[in-house]
Amino acid sequence: MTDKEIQSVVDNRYQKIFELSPEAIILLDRTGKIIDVNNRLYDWLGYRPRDIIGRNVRSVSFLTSASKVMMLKKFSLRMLGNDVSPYDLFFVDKKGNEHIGQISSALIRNKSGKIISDLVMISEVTKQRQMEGDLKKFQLAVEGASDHIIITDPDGKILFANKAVEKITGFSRKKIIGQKAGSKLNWGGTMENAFYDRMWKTMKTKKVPFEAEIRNRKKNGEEYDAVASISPVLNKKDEVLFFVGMERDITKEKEVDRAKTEFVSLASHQLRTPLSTINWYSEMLLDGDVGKLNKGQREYLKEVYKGNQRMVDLVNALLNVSRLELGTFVIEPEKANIVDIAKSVIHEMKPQIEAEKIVFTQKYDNTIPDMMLDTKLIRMVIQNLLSNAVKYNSKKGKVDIKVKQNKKKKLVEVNISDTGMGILKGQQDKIFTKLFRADNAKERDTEGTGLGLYIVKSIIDHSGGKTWFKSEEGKGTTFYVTLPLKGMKKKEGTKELN
Amino acid sequence: MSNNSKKILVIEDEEPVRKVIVDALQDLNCEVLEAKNGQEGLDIALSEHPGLVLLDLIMPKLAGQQVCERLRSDTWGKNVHVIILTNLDSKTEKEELKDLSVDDYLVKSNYKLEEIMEKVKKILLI
Repeated sequence: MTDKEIQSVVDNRYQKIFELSPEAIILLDRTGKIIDVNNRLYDWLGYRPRDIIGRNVRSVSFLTSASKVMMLKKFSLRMLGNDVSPYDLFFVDKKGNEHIGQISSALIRNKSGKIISDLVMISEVTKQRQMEGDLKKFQLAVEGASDHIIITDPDGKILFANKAVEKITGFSRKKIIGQKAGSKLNWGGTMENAFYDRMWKTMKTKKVPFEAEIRNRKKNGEEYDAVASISPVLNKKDEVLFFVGMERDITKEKEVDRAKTEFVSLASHQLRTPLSTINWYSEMLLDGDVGKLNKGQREYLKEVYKGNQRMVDLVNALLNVSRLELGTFVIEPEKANIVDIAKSVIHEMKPQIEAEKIVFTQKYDNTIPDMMLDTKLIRMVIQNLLSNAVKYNSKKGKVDIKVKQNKKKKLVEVNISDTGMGILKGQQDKIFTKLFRADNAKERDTEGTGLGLYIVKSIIDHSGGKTWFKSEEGKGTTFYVTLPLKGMKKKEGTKELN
Repeated sequence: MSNNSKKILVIEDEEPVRKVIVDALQDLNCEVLEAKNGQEGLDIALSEHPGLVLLDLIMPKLAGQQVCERLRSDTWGKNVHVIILTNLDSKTEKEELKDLSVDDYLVKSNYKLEEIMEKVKKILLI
């Protein structure tokens, strides 16, 4: 092959590369005039080579004006022989849409080494830059969030921690990266082992998010309460890629709760003191302790006494509600039989049942075993439901109580039904709302507090059971309460319900 | 039981409450002593040796819990009958009194005076 032929092959090869390159390539002379351009620029922006060859980059319309300034600045640096690292420019296609291109360039020199041209290569990075922008936004959001956020590998080792982690725990990020999250090395170790076992089991085996209240320790040893929510992020094969853990410091909320509880406790004491005075003085008067009362005086005083009794009940019920809502009440389960509890409540209510001439029936499953129950709370549930069944019944109506066992579902079920006024259809969904009283109930008995069913449901909810009812206006209502056979879970607290 | 068995001490800072309890106790033909705060109550108890103390909790000078504690550390007081009559009902208070072997813990507003008198009679065997 002659030198000329070789040169022709080489030229031809470079021509091919120029034409087939996936990047847009523009060849500029020393003045910035476009000498050549491949077809990519047409594919990308809609400008044909013939439209732009011969024009100076200063006057092209496919660059935004700011980008033109930038490009000329870089170009003059290049012409002086300086290295310029790749940079982004904003392009505008023929339809007016903006694109981002990354520029890199190669100088072309003649045989004596003089720069004669600059080969400018442009790769489109619009999508990439947008994604990077989105990612940056996410990163900033996570980083700036006020909640503690971490990302761990499947073994729980910390890969990322946001700024709040440092602020809340006091541990520097540099130190905790690579450590197991929530271990004794950092903020963990204050909860029982069983808690952590349950946590990992939920996330690793069941692969579902785990949520719980948790107690952590800061670097300075101070403990704090947090609500933790940890979610596994899975791949298509359902394998854990990493865990995202979020925690919110709720120490302040807890303090407010404690203050509220204390307030309720003292307020109830203050409310009860005058009530007991009224109670006891009326009692003494009614007993004729300071002289016999005439019929009218007696009647009036009885109303005072009854009204006061209502106040006492109301204060007690409100106290119970606040304890249920603040979660400060205790559940103290002990071995007991639910049938015995039911029987003892019925015995206590006998006078009421007889006064209303109620036809009372009861049916118990004798195979129900002793369960772990807080007798006081279960009494309260049955007592509330039974007294409603008696109170809102028709004269000489029927009340029936059944206690049975569902071995398959591992439940005991208490059903209490009456043949009373029923719950108005339009108000059935509100019946467990605190202080709510159905219109027909208000008509019958003006003295209810609207708290009984709310208390019943709260107790049963806290015991892992369910409460529901079926009711037909004018025909009667049946309330259903279930409890797990394994019984109620112990709950520490500072207050008892009464 | 000593001859003090029918002597009852009421330690209660609320005057009307104290008065009505005292009246009711007198109806039982008991000798009734009164104190309007914890310190006074403790002093009277230690000098008069009543058979039963009805004790309020929230009181000036000395709270009921402390009165009870001091009684229990006394050779005579360690066996005296004590009924707590209060309107506090949280577990904290009850727990504080757990080791002080009180005869009963009654929330005033939840009991009739008559019911309280029944409890007194039972304890004093009258």
